[in-house]
Amino acid sequence: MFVATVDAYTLPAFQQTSSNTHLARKENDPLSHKVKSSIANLSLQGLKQKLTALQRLPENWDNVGSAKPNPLAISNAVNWLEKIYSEIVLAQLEWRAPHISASEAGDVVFEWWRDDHKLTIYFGADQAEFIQVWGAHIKNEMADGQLETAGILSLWKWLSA
Amino acid sequence: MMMVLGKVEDDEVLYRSVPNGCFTTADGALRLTSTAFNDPTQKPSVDRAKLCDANPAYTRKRPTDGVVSLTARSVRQIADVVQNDKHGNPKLAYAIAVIPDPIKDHLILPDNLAHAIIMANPDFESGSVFRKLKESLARIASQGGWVVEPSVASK
Repeated sequence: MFVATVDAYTLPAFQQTSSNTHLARKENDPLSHKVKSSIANLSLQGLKQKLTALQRLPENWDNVGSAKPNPLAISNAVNWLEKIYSEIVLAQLEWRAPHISASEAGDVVFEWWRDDHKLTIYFGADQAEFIQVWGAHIKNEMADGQLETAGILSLWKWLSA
Repeated sequence: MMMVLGKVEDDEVLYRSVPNGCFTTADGALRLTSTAFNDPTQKPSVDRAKLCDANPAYTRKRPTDGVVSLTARSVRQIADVVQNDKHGNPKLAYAIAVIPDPIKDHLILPDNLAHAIIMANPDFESGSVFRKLKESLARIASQGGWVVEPSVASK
């Protein structure tokens, strides 16, 4: 019977030095990073297609009289999607695709859920506004404001907290 | 069926039709999007269960829609709605009401004596407060799950 043995002197070199061990960590694995990046890029392309598909929704798409999604809002949402994605990936945080829909006014709406935390972003023709939700009470369990590039990471970290 | 068109009682069950694309079950739980309560007049429609034989399918607009329920009490408890002024100081307080709004002999809409509306009193001055109301309604209605499942799952 063949029995494999492990000889300490024949261990692969990358396990014998601290610098190579550091490089061998999961987060530094270039292939893993490349694969993750490719998957995320595919996800981004899919989201852009979903945004483009909003243009095909008619007036009253939801049967309650909502406006057709505004093409300028869709364009604004595509630009913001890339900014949000870049900020998150550059910070090496986990990217999660938003749910995409539209408001009664034709704004584009992104929504993410994480346990009790929810983040909603409304994209109009030339602005983006967020709502943080952690309960049903409008005054005590929600906060809102204008979305700015500098604030993306703190919103994302709050969502994931 | 006896018609009761007066005040909507606190314990009354209300049905809301949810269009495909306005919910997700991606993480195992039903999550309604805030857009499930879209309404151009800022007065989302519901049907009163007691006036439609407690049949939630009555409320469904399309086969791909699902139907959720919530109570009038849970809606009214979305209380002390405050709109801040530009300095962040509380300016207006709203009460959230559920008002009977039977539809009869409308030019376009079919008759619906069970119809009611969720509205703020006074009317919202800004869209941002209505957005928060929609968040709240979506969260409350999600907790009960479907009373009628959509025929096609949304992603």
